[in-house]
Amino acid sequence: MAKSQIEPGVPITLQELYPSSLFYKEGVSLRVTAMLRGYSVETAIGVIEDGGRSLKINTQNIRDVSFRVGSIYQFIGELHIEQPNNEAILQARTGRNVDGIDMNLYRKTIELLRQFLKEEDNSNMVE
Amino acid sequence: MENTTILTVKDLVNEGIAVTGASSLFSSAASHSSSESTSTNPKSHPGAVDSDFSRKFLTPLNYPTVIFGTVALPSETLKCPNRYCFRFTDGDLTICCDILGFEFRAIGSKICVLSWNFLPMNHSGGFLEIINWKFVDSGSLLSRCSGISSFPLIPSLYSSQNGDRKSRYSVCGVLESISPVSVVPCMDGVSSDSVNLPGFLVHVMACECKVYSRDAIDCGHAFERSVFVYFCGLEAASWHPVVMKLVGRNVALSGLKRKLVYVRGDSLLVFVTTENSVLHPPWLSKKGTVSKTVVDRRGNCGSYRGYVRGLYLKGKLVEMDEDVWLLLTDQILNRSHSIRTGSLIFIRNVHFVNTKFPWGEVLILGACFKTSITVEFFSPFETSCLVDSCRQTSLSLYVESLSFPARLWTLLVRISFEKFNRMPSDKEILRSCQKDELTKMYAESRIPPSMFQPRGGIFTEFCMHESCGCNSEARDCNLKLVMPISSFVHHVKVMLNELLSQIKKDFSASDCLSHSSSTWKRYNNTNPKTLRSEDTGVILLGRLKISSSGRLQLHDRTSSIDVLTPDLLSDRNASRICEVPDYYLIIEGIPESMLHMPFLKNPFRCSSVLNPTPLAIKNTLTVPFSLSLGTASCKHLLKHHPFDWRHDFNEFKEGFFHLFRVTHKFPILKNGHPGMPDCTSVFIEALVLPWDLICTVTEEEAAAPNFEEHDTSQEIRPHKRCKTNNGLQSQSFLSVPHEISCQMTIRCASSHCLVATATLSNLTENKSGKMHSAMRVLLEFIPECSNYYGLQIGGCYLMKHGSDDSFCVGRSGISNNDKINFRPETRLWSLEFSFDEVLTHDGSMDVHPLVSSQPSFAVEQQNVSSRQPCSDVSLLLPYDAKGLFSVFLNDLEGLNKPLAAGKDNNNISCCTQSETIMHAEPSRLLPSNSLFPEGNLATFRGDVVAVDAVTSSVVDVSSSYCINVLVNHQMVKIFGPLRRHSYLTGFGFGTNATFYRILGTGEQNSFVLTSASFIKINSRKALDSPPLEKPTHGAALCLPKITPQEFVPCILAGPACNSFSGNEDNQQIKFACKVLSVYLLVLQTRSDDPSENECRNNIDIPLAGFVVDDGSSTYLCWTSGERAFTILRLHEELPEETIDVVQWTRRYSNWGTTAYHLDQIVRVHKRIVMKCNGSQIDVLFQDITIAVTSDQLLTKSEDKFLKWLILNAISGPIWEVAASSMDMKMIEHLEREQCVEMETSRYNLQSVWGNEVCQVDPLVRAWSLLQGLLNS
Repeated sequence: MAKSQIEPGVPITLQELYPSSLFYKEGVSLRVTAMLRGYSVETAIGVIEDGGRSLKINTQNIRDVSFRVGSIYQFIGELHIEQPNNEAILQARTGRNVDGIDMNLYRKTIELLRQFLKEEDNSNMVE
Repeated sequence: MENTTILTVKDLVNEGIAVTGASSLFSSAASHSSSESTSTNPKSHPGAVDSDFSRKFLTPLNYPTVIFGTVALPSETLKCPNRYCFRFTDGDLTICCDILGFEFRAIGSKICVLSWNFLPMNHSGGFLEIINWKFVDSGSLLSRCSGISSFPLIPSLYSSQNGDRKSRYSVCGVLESISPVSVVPCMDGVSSDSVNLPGFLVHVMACECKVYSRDAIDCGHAFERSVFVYFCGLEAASWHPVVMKLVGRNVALSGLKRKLVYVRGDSLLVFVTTENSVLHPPWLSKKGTVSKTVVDRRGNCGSYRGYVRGLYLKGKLVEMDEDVWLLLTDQILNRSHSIRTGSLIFIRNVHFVNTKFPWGEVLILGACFKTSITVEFFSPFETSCLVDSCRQTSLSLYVESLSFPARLWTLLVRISFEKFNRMPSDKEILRSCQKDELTKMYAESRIPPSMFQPRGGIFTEFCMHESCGCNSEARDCNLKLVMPISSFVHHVKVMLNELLSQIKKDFSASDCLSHSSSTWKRYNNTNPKTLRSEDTGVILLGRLKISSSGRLQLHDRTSSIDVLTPDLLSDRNASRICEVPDYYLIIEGIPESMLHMPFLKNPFRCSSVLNPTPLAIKNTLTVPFSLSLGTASCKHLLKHHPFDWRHDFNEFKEGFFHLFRVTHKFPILKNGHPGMPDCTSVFIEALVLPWDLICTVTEEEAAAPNFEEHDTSQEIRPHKRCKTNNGLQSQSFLSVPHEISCQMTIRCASSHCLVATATLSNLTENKSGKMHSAMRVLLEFIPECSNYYGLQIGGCYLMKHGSDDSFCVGRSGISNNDKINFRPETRLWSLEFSFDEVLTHDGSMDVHPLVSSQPSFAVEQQNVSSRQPCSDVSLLLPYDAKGLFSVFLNDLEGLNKPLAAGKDNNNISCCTQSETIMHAEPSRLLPSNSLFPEGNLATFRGDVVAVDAVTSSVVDVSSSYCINVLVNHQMVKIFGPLRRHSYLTGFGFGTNATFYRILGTGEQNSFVLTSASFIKINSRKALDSPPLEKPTHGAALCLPKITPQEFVPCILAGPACNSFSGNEDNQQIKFACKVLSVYLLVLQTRSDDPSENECRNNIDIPLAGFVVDDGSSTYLCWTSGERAFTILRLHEELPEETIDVVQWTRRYSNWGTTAYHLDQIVRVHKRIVMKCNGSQIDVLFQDITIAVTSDQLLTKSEDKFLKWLILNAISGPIWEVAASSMDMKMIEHLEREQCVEMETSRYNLQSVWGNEVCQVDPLVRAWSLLQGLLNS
């Protein structure tokens, strides 16, 4: 069944995207940031890579983003698991070039953000 | 009229076919007074359009028919993508329509359509073209000439005319132009919400007399005043098709209000329609009649009347006459459905852009917002209607931003891509999207910035047409025509056929044509005709493939052409589109009489990309033609968007590879020797090296491949010291090490490189001694296998180990002369060895390539000092291994030479150096006295002088040809059966070829080709042009250029050296800022006291004032000495482009810093005071005053340099300044001290004294912020 509501894209790093991971599910909305390793104009599928892990991105629905291999991009979209080989592909709904980003710093900020959200949740529960 | 059938719209729509009908089939039923149309049947003027076989006339109804109905203004009820076209309704159903001989009163009145065309359309049922009509009510017919009635724009409010004081203005004049309908967000008066109001502008050359009155109609109006009227609102905008019909005629509008609008800073008086506005239809006047000439030009804009020959890309591109193209690229343009192929259209206010492209001259009719198109005759053909696509793609946006020539070019490129199919057809929209993207990317890479044109929006471009840049058009455009192979091939065929028919007429000598259909003339000693790409001005698009006959071809969906290229890289991806900008077209076997004919009499046309001209003569001549191109000239279309190089690198991860070297290629034997069965396989003789390459690319290495930043062919090889295994140096090379570690550089066509370490493992292992006898094997290929073509004799190749490959399975058991089947899908990489001398020669970093994958080039480029590697993989081995491998490779050189097919092993000993053979030694052979030729096999290279057909053969082989080859200034004759082999594409006079394993006949300088001989074409001379062998390959295959990272040292200011810094009371603040402007700059030669200044140069900056901005406010930051040096960026290297500007600095090129050059100036002038009065630097530097103390005047270049200095400071990084505030007293003190006048009072800025300046690293700041957060 199609999702009735579009979920916000949870920022994650590609290292967190392994088959047994919490995020490695069909239809999960994610925000991924990594360097574009390859891009096929013919199929509109790009491959981003960060820290040794790569992810395919389907950019069919993205307009006005010019892809340049070697640049860092951020995509928000839904994860689609292709069944036969359990391969993940992100159906990007939006994307942008984030060249100049410090990935290490970005990873830390994700951690911080999660920490903050967790504390926020906890405090909400107390109330 | 009794027998006429009355048709309803429903009948037509339900039928759903394109038909034409008339009330009378035999006599003209013209009833309206249109001066231009006497014949109403569309079939009566078909000859105007050049006959095209593919076009079909509209089916006529064979009985008289009429349609009754009403013509209405466009309304929201009928959804039509074109939005603003007339409606025709018969009460039952409404469809779009267009009407000839339009009259005002026709709107809303019932009319009888006497002759018409109907075309079915998807969105609204159909489209009616009303050719001839009359009013149903004959009473109104009488009144038509008698009076001019008025038409309120909003009918219901007709009575309240002149009720409003504001709407009292009238305009009367000639309607010059009309804009398309655009939507403007407006405040709704009632609900104060913002609504989108449609509207359009018209330009009227009006009479000065303000008030429109009927009496004044025939008075001598002087239509001299330019007036703009804006039809505002939904109802007013619906009059767009009506007003469109009035362009060029007299109109009068009343009930308008005046409004002042601001367009690009200028105010403009515009009349706006109101609820009370009334449109008065045109009256007959002798003055305002439209010129009937076909072309009416006024300046850059003009009118054009012509037949539509073709519509392309949803009507964006309209072909008018020969080399006349109408561009309707603006998305907003309202186009009529009736602009169809075959219709006569009148285009008003269109830009005439005569553009010279490399392929020919084209007249571009560029439509802008002023352009209006009216259809004068409907097309009699059954051609599709123009329907706007509402979808705005990024390509259409991009195209709109270009100048007209570039727009035409981009659209032609888009059409060229149609010839390539990639996506499955069910994803039609997606496919067209990606072709759009592909076009956009390609165009972006080609179109120079000068071809862009800023767009100002509809109001600006309409009202300020002349000043908004619509006028300035590039007349010359060096964009080459991009053509898919099929169009190119077709065009060449047409060109040849035209020539042929010419000859037929001229000579009637049929004998020159009699042989032409056979290949008999192919190797005749006539010159093949060569056309250079520079002459044609055409870039080719195609995909590379190996045809079933083994020939390399460039192809697209429908056509292909043989390709001759000296080197083919093994990683050519067959599915990618290649762009071939540089090539020679070789046309062979042309009758001699044709050679002298001017070939480019029929240049390439844009239309040849779109619709092929039919061949005038069919099947009279089959002239083979081929392309000759170098590697560099064949590029993948979008090399910045590779998708499979990653895959390439992955293949090298943890791989195990076999090495082999090709020693000979056996030709493809089609229709082989009599008595021999047709061979379905092709063979390659290879030498399997007793080494395997083991790659262990770690994740980190794979994750960080090098990227080539620019398309420079310049490359820097990575110099990495290679480690050799356990004491290789100590061992003599006779005892072979088991493993050699080496450095591997993997390249792919997309300019990506990966440097990794690999290990060469010795296979002989314990069986030492077998080392030097590398095994020779025969590799069997199917002829279609691209690997066969890609492999070059003498080249080394890598093959990945696969368990199921017969090559690998029997790896251990391979012995000499084994035949191994080679799977066509096996991936091969060309390999190059090079040896690092670092380990043995101190300080020397030279890398010597020993053997390349393209040995032919190594021979060719004797004068080229450093060749660029063009192999897929290059191995950098320690120098010590050189001896080890050169033994192999030298052996191979020998093996490559005389080797009889039958007596393999014995002959190795008698191999001679290539030089001896090159010097034509065959004379030493014994004279032949036996039936079969006896002699040694030879391999040499030479220039083909002539290929003659011979009837009597010297030797007893079926030698039907004699090839005369010039080898080292000696003529050598080679006899043999030349068949059309794959390797003989383009063979003939002017070819430089290598002949492998040809048999000496015993006669001096005479050889025969055997079935094992192989001919490789190295290059081809073009007529009157240098041969193709330019060492330009490697453009696509380069190591990344390593650019030293620009490192800006962070200079901290020394101890404060100014009296003000000692102001202890002042609290120091720190802020990050950017320099906005340089307010004051005092430069002087250094004071004598060395302790005061630590600058290396002889300059001192006693005072400098910078206007800085920290993001919230602007300060005037004063500083001196080293801190000023830092902010002025004097220690930085002078950028190269500035050196160009500052010509005089060249002679001091030993010093690159800005400070050095400044020093030269200051030394001359002793003291320079620069003052800038504005808070921002203006472009012209008008506010800058420069004063010098010396008697000498500042030279122009010095002046330039000083101004550049300021710009340089402004474009600097973000600085972190530790500053203390200053009061007026301090400033006054500074003034006195430096003897400068400062208008600080005028300059209302907070002044601070900068104590410390250093560059800010935003990243460092971010990290420290993070640390702070984490710790908290």
